[in-house]
Amino acid sequence: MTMIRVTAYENPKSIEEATTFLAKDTYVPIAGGTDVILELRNGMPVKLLDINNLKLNHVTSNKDNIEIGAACTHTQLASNPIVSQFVPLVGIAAGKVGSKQIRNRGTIGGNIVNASPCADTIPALLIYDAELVLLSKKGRRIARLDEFITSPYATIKRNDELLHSIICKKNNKTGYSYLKLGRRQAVNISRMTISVALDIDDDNAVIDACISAGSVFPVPSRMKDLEKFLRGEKIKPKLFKEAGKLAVDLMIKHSGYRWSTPYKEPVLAGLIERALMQASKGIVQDN
Amino acid sequence: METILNTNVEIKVGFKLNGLLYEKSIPANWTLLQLLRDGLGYYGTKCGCEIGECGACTVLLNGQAINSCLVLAPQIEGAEIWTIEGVADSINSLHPVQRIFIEYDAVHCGFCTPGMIMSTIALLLENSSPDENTIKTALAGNLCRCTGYVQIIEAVKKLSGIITEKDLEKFRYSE
Amino acid sequence: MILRCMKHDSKHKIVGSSVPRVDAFDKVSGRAKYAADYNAKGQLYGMVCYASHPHAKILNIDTGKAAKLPGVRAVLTHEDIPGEKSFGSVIPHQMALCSDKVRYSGDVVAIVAAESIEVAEQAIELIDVDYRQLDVVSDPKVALKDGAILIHDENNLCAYHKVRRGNIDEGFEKSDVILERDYSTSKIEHSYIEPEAVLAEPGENGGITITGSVQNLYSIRRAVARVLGLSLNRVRIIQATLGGSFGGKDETMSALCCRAGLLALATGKPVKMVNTREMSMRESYKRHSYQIHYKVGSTKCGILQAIESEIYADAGAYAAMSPFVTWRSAVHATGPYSIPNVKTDVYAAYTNNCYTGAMRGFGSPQICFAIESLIDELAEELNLDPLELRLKNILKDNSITATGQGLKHKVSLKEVLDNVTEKMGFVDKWKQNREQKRDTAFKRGIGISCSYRGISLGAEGTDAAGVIISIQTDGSVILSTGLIEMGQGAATTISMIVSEKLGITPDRIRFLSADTSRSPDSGPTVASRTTFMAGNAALRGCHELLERIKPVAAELLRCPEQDLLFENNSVYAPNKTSEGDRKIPFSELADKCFQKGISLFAHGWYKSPPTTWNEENGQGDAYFTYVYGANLAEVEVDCITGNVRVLKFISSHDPGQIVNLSGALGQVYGGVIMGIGYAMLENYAESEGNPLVANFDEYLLPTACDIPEIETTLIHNPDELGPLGAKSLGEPACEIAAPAIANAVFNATGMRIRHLPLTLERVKLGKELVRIDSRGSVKARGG
Repeated sequence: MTMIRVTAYENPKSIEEATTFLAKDTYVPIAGGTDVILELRNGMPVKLLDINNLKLNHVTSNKDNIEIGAACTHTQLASNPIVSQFVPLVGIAAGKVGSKQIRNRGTIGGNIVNASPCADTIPALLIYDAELVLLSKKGRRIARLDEFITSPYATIKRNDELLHSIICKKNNKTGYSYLKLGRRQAVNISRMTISVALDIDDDNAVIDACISAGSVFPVPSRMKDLEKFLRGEKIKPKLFKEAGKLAVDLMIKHSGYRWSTPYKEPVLAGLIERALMQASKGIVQDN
Repeated sequence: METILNTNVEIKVGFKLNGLLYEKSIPANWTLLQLLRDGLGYYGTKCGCEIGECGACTVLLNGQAINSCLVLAPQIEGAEIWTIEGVADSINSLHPVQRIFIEYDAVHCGFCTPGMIMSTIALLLENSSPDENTIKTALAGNLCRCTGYVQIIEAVKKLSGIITEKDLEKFRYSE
Repeated sequence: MILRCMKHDSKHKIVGSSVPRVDAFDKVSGRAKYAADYNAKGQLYGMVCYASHPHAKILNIDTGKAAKLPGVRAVLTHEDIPGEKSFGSVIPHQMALCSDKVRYSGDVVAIVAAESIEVAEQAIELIDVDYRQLDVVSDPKVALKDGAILIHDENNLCAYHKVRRGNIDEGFEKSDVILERDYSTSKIEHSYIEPEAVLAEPGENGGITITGSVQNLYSIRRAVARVLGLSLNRVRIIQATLGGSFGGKDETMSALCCRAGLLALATGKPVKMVNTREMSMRESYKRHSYQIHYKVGSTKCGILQAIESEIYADAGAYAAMSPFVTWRSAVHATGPYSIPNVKTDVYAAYTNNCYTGAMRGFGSPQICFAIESLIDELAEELNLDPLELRLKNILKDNSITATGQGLKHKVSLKEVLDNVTEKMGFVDKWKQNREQKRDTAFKRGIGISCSYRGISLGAEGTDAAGVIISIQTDGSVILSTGLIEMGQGAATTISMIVSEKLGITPDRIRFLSADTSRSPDSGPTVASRTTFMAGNAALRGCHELLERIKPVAAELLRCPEQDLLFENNSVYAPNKTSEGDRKIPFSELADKCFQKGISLFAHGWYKSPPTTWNEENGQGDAYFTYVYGANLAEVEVDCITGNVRVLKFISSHDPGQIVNLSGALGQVYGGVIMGIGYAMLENYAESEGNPLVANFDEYLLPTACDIPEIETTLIHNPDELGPLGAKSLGEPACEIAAPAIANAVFNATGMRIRHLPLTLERVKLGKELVRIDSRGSVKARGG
């Protein structure tokens, strides 16, 4: 089936107008459309709400936070100076989404509400304790990103709500790493992504560690137990090897033993080790 | 079933295509690709997969390369679009990008070529002297099964030395 | 991207140089018309109703509801077919519309023509088909067992070929080392970026004209004529600009043309049918997956004594080209080596999988992967390096092939192998790589491969082609042949050969796209035969024309005919005429000839030299000549993830004589990258006859970021049979990439992977993980 059926198309110019439509009827919000249009090809008739003219493509910074408009494209984030200064992993992740054409259209809001287990930007956002601003006629609600996605492709967003923006906490660390594994060298659906931010003191001990993974758990998640394990530890190769093993335990605990586990076990261990090693050297890895 | 079929709404849309202003009433379920080909007869833009994987339908939308199969026609309200037909200044002339593609034998079956050329122009708008990796990344969303990309990449490398702002200015989008 | 050692052969004026493609202007300007770009006033849109099961008895087809949908103009089933219900070049059993049963998921049971695609799609949903499901056969080896479910009326053996040379038992007795190995390759989608499309228009005299994305017009015409019940002269197939084919737009297009033709004749209206990518992937035939067992025997010092092989090809639901594809595999099964004792058995079996047929390589990529992996494995066993073992056994001048054919031309295998290994210092580097530390995360490896390849159709069948050359009175030229341009550059190479002979610049030559009613049936544009066959035919046509126009030119220039030189759109007799270097424009000569009533039209016809084949023992002169090629691949393996980056390729080929240099390089580049896709990414996976991939999001092709640096060396080795010495290149370039990569991965990691593609899982774990229905279960396939 390839037929797209659109029974209504609204193009609101204000958030007020948009939320009014959403309160009135079941609309599918469409921004870049790179995920939505694929869904539409199954022939289900839909009412569309174009949210491109709501001016949601801002990136702003205050003392503690970065606010990213939900309609920011991946291209925009990959080259935004505020993003690369304060939430670098988000910029790197956005730069690895799909192809240039997809990055030019696809938005970070779309990547979040689509809620795919292998979404590239979500693990990166989790590092910055991202929160989502949801607007509706009933008012404004803040949801934590790590509580937003309930299961693959399902979120707590109500149909009358609009994802307005994402608030990331600034957390300057001494080193970062983002690793994306795919089947080919570009335009990949992620087989696995690892995001790491490390804070290391002058004595080479871990002050803080933030670690998340995509395509490892049913929904992209932080590995808090692993972070706890690392905090306060002196950096040495054996530590990162143990961290890799612990990550695998966490994966099997939360995802069960699946058809892909024999592969993911050693790979997750190896990539966690690699990402920690890179982050410990203070580099923002872009491979 | 019949009722569903007739419920596709039509939307009035104004846009600029290859430098010309259009105002059309368009079925809201059409993609930009359908609008270009079936609606306006611009068959130079090709349809290869309809899911944004092959890049054959790449056009410039407000100065950026996008897959026209993944844009709904109503979304182009107020937009500026360039397709392969608008690249050369006249019917018998060629744009430098087109000329170099011929010179480097970057065109085999030619089906990916319009999209490849649009992605190349979009790249040059951002960076008029891209290195090899930048070129590869910019073209990774355009699949080619004939050339193995080698001659295409060589052609684009060559362009970095000869392309001028004059060759690019009409494609630039200013809000 | 470097080219080495290509000397421009000064013997030729234009042949051997780089010439811009004659069709490139239209293609870069967006003006080239591909099949889906054609429309006719009042056209209807055709759509197909696919089988709901890969194997099922059709009990009833109810089209009543669909026919009543407003906007629907025809709903047809097999009962509405005026001619035969099936077609096929080798075995005519492929169903245009299925009658008794469906045999794979891409089979079609009914077709609809409607005023819009939307209505046509809706009508398809309203067609009710009752099926009785049958057991599915999905493994070719299982299909050949006694008592297997039958796909067609007789047993599931689609084709069998054997080769017997020497005495296999004695061969193994003389061997010090015997190795047995199993290899397998995956099913490959051609992945031309242009999905199939046709526009069928009812023609005059009750005939039909079909413009489409067709590769082999004449086989398609035979199918349409047969199914529509028309004589050949009332079916006209016109080739639109073709957006890639690689062997793929033959039977698939026969089916599509038959269906569009049926709808056009039933409605009296033009009918347009355009496949989506999903339809194309579901329905179009693929390159065969092979299961290959080898047993090789060698002396201690590495002299090959015997090779025994048993090869199973998945033919899928219909024969298509399987009998010919597997024949080529049989001929080439022992690789480019002298083997005194050979026993080869190749089977193609029907299954309920997507059917398989011609694709670039035509039965060789599978064989090349297996035999070239095997040779490396044997070298390892013998403690020799891979190059040394090859050099001890490769075919040389006057060698006898496995089919008993003596090679009478200059065999350039050693030269191509030297070309890919010398500069890099292969053996030293290969040995160094093996010393890499065990715990290195990123390991480098290099590997080589080589092949020989019989060109054109060989003993498959009649091999002849024609080219019409028509000089216009202004000195421009129109070329027309039944062999086609599909992106491989045939229009340019044939134009260049004519240009070379008539002295007319390529811009003055117009190569027409093929039209069955206007161009001579030249057989299929396959088997890397176009340059050779059409080139030779064009030379004959040129010769004929020159015989006619030379006397006129000689008279004008007052010189003997043998002094005439045709060059740069003019004719002159350098320093020989009484009028010095006077040049007569070719236009003037053409006009003069026309005035004199001399024909400026010639039809050059060329029939290939004879080949022989004995079905009983698989011996004979299988092909009239061969080409040779070698590859070197360098890879970097991420031992943590199994990710393989192909860093470098060195590719050397012997195409005889290059015609268009840039076009030849393009064939090598395109072939190598297609081979990288074969090695690393591509797999048209099926489960119980159901495809598991539907589009390019799951069927992954190499992107611009996946390509290595490619260094190419083309050998100048004119063949006495070839047009100006030219042979072929398109397929050889593609067939040996995968084994070079697999051998390089072994060099890096010490792990031998015998199954394509080299996925992350195979490289990391040495085995593939298969997702079985829902999550939670693990099953390893292969090793």
